[in-house]
Order: sequence, then structure tokens, then C-alpha cells
Amino acid sequence: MAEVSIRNVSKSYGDNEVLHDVSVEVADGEFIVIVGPSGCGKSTLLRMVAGLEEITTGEIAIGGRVVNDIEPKDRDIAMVFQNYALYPHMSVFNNMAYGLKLKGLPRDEIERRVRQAAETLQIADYLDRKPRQLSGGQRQRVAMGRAIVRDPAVFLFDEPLSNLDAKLRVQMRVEIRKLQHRLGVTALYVTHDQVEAMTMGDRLIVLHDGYAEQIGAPMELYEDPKTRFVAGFIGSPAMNFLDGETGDGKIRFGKDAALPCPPGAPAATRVTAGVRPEHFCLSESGEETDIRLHVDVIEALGADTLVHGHIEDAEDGANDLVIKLSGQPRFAIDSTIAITARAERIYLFDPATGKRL
Amino acid sequence: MIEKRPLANIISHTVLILGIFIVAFPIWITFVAASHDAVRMTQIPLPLLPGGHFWENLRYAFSRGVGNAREISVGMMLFNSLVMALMIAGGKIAISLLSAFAIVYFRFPFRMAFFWMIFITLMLPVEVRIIPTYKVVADLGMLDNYWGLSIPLIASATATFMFRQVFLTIPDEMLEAARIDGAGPMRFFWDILVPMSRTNIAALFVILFIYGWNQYLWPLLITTDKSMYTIVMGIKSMLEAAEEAPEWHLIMMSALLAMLPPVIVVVGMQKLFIRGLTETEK
Repeated sequence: MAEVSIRNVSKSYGDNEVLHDVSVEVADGEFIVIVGPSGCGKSTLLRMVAGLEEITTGEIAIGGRVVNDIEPKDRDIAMVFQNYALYPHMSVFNNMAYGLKLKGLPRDEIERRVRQAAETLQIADYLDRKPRQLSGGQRQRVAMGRAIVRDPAVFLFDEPLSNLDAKLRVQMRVEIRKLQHRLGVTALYVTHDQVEAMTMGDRLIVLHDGYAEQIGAPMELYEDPKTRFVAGFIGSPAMNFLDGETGDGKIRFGKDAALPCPPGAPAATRVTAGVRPEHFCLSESGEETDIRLHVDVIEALGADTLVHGHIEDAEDGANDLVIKLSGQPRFAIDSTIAITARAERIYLFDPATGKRL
Repeated sequence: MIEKRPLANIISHTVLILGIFIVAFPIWITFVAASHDAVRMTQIPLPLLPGGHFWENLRYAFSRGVGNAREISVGMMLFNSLVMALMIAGGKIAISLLSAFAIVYFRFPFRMAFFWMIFITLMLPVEVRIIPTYKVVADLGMLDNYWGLSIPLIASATATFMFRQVFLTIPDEMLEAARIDGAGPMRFFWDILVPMSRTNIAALFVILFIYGWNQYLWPLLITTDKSMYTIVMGIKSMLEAAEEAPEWHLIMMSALLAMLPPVIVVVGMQKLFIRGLTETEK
């Protein structure tokens, strides 16, 4: 069994605490994505699971065994690095075989494992080449091959697709997911790309400044974000945020801007309201719960249209909005349109703490 | 766009040819002198064209000694020089690899102090420290043998710094991948660091071999037993012959032979480190 248990883990460099009390239970065979902006501590967390960083407080257990003081090579893990970290002077075969050789496996066993992994990853033709003779995508596969032959309990991926071009990234995303699913090995995957996170993970851990803001399935994070950060991080284009005040069943953002208030919201409070671009719609008739939007840019994408605009004289704070409408636009730049959103699609956050109300 | 300026071409070619001539002429004279017999060499003007005694002189010098160095053949001196140069080059490379490895990859107390101490030794070439070094070597009984010839010259700050630079450019992820694969420090050193520094080692070997080969002052001091003479210092003592005129043809032949091994080393290693410099490591 290869569950990974991260219990109240914190990390400090001297007086500087970079990870605060992160806890998560990863089930056997689960694909967990650790996602967040640069500097949020996601690589640090991964490296602590790998054993490349000391754990300041807390415990990490792999397969039920606490591994805090165990060397990386004995933790039964395999890691794929962002820059592949292949040994440049060794052939592809030797790159994959190195760890097994050090473990003392017999030659025919090493040969068998390496060839099998090469077949799976379609790099069997390259076994005699050196890394510098391979393309980026091929090197990535060799790095994964090196991880697979170790037959580990957990795979650790540290932003493995960041160095690939966009098209290859999309292709490799699918392949990694398929491979992990077929092998059934628990995987921890670090990325800053929320699209990768949403499409690949069984569950996501969203990290921000060292705090685990939310842990859950992609759709859960999309539909029920617990903090403003998570709401703004997941989903593309990002959620729009407006500062306003509740009252009379409405949220007022200014002279010409209001939205219906979701039920159960506190009255007469300052709030930050969040609405996703895809949840705005054109308002039928001049309602009091409309936002009058001055259109700045129209991006016609074919099936949908992205409209960038701003609210004239909103109270304070940001008043730029992006909305997504289906079909072709029927208005022009510099016109003013009335838009609204359904109350249940409006998320309210505390302006100070960012927590969901 | 290629400039078409015939005059500049002629001038630059002339200058270059002149330069080559100035450099090559002494070597030519040496070669010519080595191919004549003793009689011809005592007549002026010096010959400008080779004579017919080249092979004969070669055989003589190789197996027998010349002038004050009569007890030792040139062949023996060449051997001594070779052993000394190889020991110095090999020793310097081995020691510098290990010290650079320690400084870059380990954290230990006074690490930076040691680093600066190594740096300061750059201010202490052999000539500056000759007397204390001689005393230590004499007290240790290392006079007149290969160890005494090479070991005092074996530490190298420049090589240590060069390898430090090379090691600093190796990405940390390589070390981490090796750690996960189960490589301890010395395995990492041997399996990964050293092969990756191959071209630097080759380049350094050439430089250090020539440095060791050309040593004059230290072998002169250290060796009293004529069988330990090295060729570079030995040539000088060939010139001193108490009663007789120097045997120029043999001396010139010895000089020619002394020049040969460094040339062979440079030419031989050249392919290796040019290949290393032009291929991009990723």
C-alpha cells in the first residue's frame, strides 16, 4: 500500500517559515496535484516528501511508515525533475539503469526492466543515444523511464512539463495521466499551471504563501471555493472581483452597478463579490440589479466571445471586468451594455481576510 | 561581405610568414645542428642545411651521455622527466578534483578559511618557498628520488579553482537525482562529476604536463645523483665539460628530443578537448 500521509508539516529556513501546518492524506493510486503561484512552497513540500529537504515540524509517512529521517533512496520514491536531470555522459539505457545498478540488482533484471519501460514510453529506439542527441520531449520520457524502472510506491513530479512547448505539453499531460492510471502508482504532481492541475488531478492542493488554502477535487474547487485566492486562481479566464456593500437584497458597487445578493448573506456589510466571466449574461430589461458595462475590447473566439470592459465610476477598487458570452457579439466597442448574473453564481468574500462568507 | 583588399592581404600574410619564420628558425637550426657531426659543428658559419648524421647522433645521444652529464644517457633523462611530469600532472589533477569537490559539496567548519588558504598559496610559487621546502624534503629523505621530484609541486590552487567553477555549474538537480538513485558522495564523485569534467581534465593535463616537464630549478636542487637528472636541467650540464668543447651536435639532438614529448601531448589531447569545447552539454 502506498498512501502518503502529510501531517501538520511546516518548514522554516532559520526564522523564515515558508510552509505552515500543511496536512493531507493521499490515498493509494491517487493523482494529487499541488498547485499555486511561484514561491508558494509547492516544490518545497514535494522535496520534503522526497527527502531532499529537512522537515522542520510534522510528519510524513509513505505506506504507513514515517519517513522523516529516512534517506531519499530508501523511501521507495522516484522523482521527475523540471530540467530532467539526466546524466549527460551516460546513454539513455545507463541513465535508466543507474539507480538499479547501485541497488545491486542482477544484470538481466535491470535489462528487463529498462527495456519494458522503454517500450511503454516508446523510447526503445533511443536506448544507445546520449541525452544531448534527444529532443525535449524525448528527454522527458527518459526521465520518466528512470522513475518507472524503480517500481516505486510514489511518483513525484516537479513541474515536469514547464520546459516543453505548448503543443507537447498538452500531449504529455494526457500521456502522464494515462501512464499513472495504468501503473496505478500514487503520484504527487507540482505545477503552477492551473489548467494542468484541473485536467490531471484527482484532487488538488492549492497553496498560497505556504498555506494550504483548499484541498479537493477540481470541480469542488471550481464551484465551491473557500477563499478569494482559490476562487481567483482556478478557472480561466479568472473570476472577476468587485468591492461593494450589501443591502436590500442587492450588492451595490456604485451608481450604475449592482447585482442580486445571494440568499443568506449578511446585510449592510462591505463585501468582495466574485463572479466568473462565464456566469455573466446580458440583462433582459433595465433592472436595478444590472451592471452597466462600457465595452473596451471584444475577443471573438468563434463559439464564445470575451468582452473586456469597465464600470464607469464604480466605488473604489478594480472596476475592470471580463465576461464570456456565447455566440457572436451584437454590440460594438465603446457601447454600453447591461449585464447581470444569477444570485447563486455570485460568491461573497470578506474584503479583509479573503475568506468565503 | 568579404573585404577585397589585396594590399592588406599581402601585408598581413607577409607579417604572419615573418612571425612563423622567427619562431621556426631556431628549431630548424637545432634540427640541422643535430644532423651534423662534431667536426662540422666547430666550424663557422653554422650550417643551414641538414647533414647526414641524424640517426647516428640520435642513437648515440639516446644511449650514451654527453658532457658533464656523461654518466647518464639522454634516454634515461627523458624517462626521468616523463615520470616526473606524469606524476605532477596526475597528482595535481587528482588532488584538485578532490579539494574542489570538498569545497563545493560539503559544509564543514572553517570551509571558507581553507578556501582562502588555498587561494593564498597562489602567492607562493616554488621559487619563493625553495629553502623551507628543500629542508622538509631533505629531512624526509626524499632527495634524489621521484617522490622528491614531484610531491612538493603537486598542490595546485589554479586547478582547484578551475574545478570549483566546473562543479558550480553542475545543476543541483543532478546531485538530487543521483541521491535518489542511491549514490553516496564518493559514487557521485566518481560516476558523475569526474566524467562530466572530462574535457577540463584533458585541458589541464596538457598544461600541467608541460609545467612539470619544464621544471628546472627544483630538479636542479633536488638531484645530486646523476641518474636522477631530468632532461631540461640535464641539457644545461651537458654544456659544462671541463676540458673539452661542448659537443653541439649531441646537445642539439638532446634539445630536440626534449621538445618532443610536450608536442606529442598537445597534439594528442587537442582532439579531445576541442571536441569537448564544441559539443554542448545539456
